[in-house]
This record gives sequence, structure tokens and C-alpha cells, in this order.
Amino acid sequence: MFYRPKLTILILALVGYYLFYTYFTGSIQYLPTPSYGIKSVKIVYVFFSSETYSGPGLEIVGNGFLIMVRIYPLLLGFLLSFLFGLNIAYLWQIYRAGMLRSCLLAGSGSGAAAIVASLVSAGYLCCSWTPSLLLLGGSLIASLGMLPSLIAAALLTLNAYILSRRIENAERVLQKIRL
Amino acid sequence: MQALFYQESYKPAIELQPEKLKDFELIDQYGNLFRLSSVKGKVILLFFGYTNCPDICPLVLSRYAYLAEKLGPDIDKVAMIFVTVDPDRDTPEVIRIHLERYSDRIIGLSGPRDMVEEVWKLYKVKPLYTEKDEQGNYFVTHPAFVFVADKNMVMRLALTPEMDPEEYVKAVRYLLSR
Repeated sequence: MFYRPKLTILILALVGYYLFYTYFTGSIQYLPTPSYGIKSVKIVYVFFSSETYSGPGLEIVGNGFLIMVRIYPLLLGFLLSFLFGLNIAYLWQIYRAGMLRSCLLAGSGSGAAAIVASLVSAGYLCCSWTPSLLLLGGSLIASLGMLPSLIAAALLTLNAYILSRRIENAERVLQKIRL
Repeated sequence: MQALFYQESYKPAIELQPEKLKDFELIDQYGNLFRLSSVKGKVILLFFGYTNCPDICPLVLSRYAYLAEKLGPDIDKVAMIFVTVDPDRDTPEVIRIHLERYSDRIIGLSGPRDMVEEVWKLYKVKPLYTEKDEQGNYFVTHPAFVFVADKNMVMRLALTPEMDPEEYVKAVRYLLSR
């Protein structure tokens, strides 16, 4: 269903984006604490109940620090980062094939108006990857909200699929030319 | 027999290097002078928070209340202490009204700012205050740990607000059994 992506690019983008995601969403929070004489680093399973997140988590407690890990956003973050990485890897492959410029021009064009226009038009279904990233960025900064993140995930999946098809089509065309 | 069971089977989640609790005096929610050493012989839970706290403190206080309910008569052997990090707003009267929502077994401590600050120093508590909004409201950043000391006033373990309430019960029973 999906074209095989360039793994190194995928992993690099995934890791980079995951770090960004965990920092901005607070799915992993590092809190320095005074030295209270905690004997050893411990991982404690907890349940968070706050305005921004209610769900399972982990607390990594050591002498002088406390790391809070919110499990659901962390898993969601991994999924989003994977999808982000996949999109980047495909775009890289399209770029290497010298097709990126035409892809973008055919899709969203440039500028905010074009991005918005592409969202509400069939233009999105061409190759416009920017709207999904824009929404994704918005969902990151806004909160740990499930809905915007899921919308972003859906858009990125669709985008990856479209990019994957474009690469496959391009490969077919190239093969025909070679024959 | 039950005591032996707790000693052998329970392992505290966060163990502390044993350290004697430092004695202090503050004003309790009824306006009386309270000295920490007056509860020597009991298991002591010590938490620093404030009554306007939106998330962490209500969690700890609800766990205190859970503890009071679950321990039954053994609660007499426990001192659950709440020390304010916001003495300007948390007068003894304010603390009394606030703690009534949770349990009458909680000891709420406040006092003049300089008196409370002395206690913060003893326990490495450095509250950070946000800017006041139009209504004069503000938040305070403070430690999230509950320190637990044994009957000899030696700090043995720490709890966090997010821990399961049962962990609080187990921790206290463990120290009661020692």
C-alpha cells in the first residue's frame, strides 16, 4: 500500500520530531528538585488527573529530579512522529527525483491563502503536504488534545499515501521510458 | 503477625536516606502553637502546599482523607501535616475551612511569613510565585513530594501526589509496623 521509504531519513525525522513533540506537549516533563536524599532512581507507575491530562503515567524519581511521563500523549507522539518521518522521507525521495517543485506547485502553491485554499479544495488531494503539518503544529502547541492530534494523524497518513502513490507512479513512468 | 507481613512484603517506592526531621513551631488551623516534636511517636506525613493550589495539593489532601478513612483507629498513630507555602493568603482560619472538606485529622500549619520561611529553609522548600492577575490571584510552585517519617521522626520515604492512594496506606502501615 505504501512505497518503501528511505529509512535513514525517516528515522532522523522521527527522532527529531519526537523530541520536539515531547518538549512542546509536556508529555515528558523534567522537574529539578532539591536534593532530598532519595536513595536510588525509581520508576513509579501513577495516574495523572489534571486539566490537561488524565491518564496513566510514569514518574522517574531521583535525588534532585523528577521526570513525569504521560503515557497516552507519548504513544500518540510516536505515531505522529512516525507519520511525520514518513512524509519527510517521501518528500526527500521526491526531491531527489527532481519532482518536488512541481509537486508543491500543483498542490498548495505558496503562502497562507494557498494553504487555506488547498484545505477546502481538491488541491489538497494532489500533493499539498503543508496543511497537514500546519495543523499538526497547531495541535502540538495548543494542548495535549486528542482530537487535533488525531486529525493531524489522519492528514499525515493521507498525505503519506498520496506521496507514496506519486513516487510509485513516477517509478512506473521511468520504467516505461527505460523500456 | 500483620506487622510482620508488612515489614517483609512491602517495599517503599521512593526510599530516602534516613534523616531526622527538623523540629519547628507553627500555628495550626485552630490558632494554637504546634510543635512538630509534639507528634513524636507517630508516623508523620509532611507536605508543603497551599489552599488555592489547583492540582497537586487537592490530590495530596484527598489521599490524606483516604488514609484517615482506611486506617481506622490506627489513624491516631499518624500525623498528617500540611504546611502552607502561601502564608499571606493561608491564614489559620482559611486553612481550617479548606481542610474541613477533606478530613479533620489533617494538621494545617501557617503563621507569620518569617516564621513559615524558617520552616521552608529547614526542608529546602523554595516557593516560586507567579505574577498576580487583575483579581490579585497567583499560583505558587512548590515541592510535590510528601515526606514520610517513622515514629522516631526519621524520614524514611517519600510519596508523590499522583501515586495510588493505596500506596499511601501501605507506606504508613509499613512504618507503623517497624
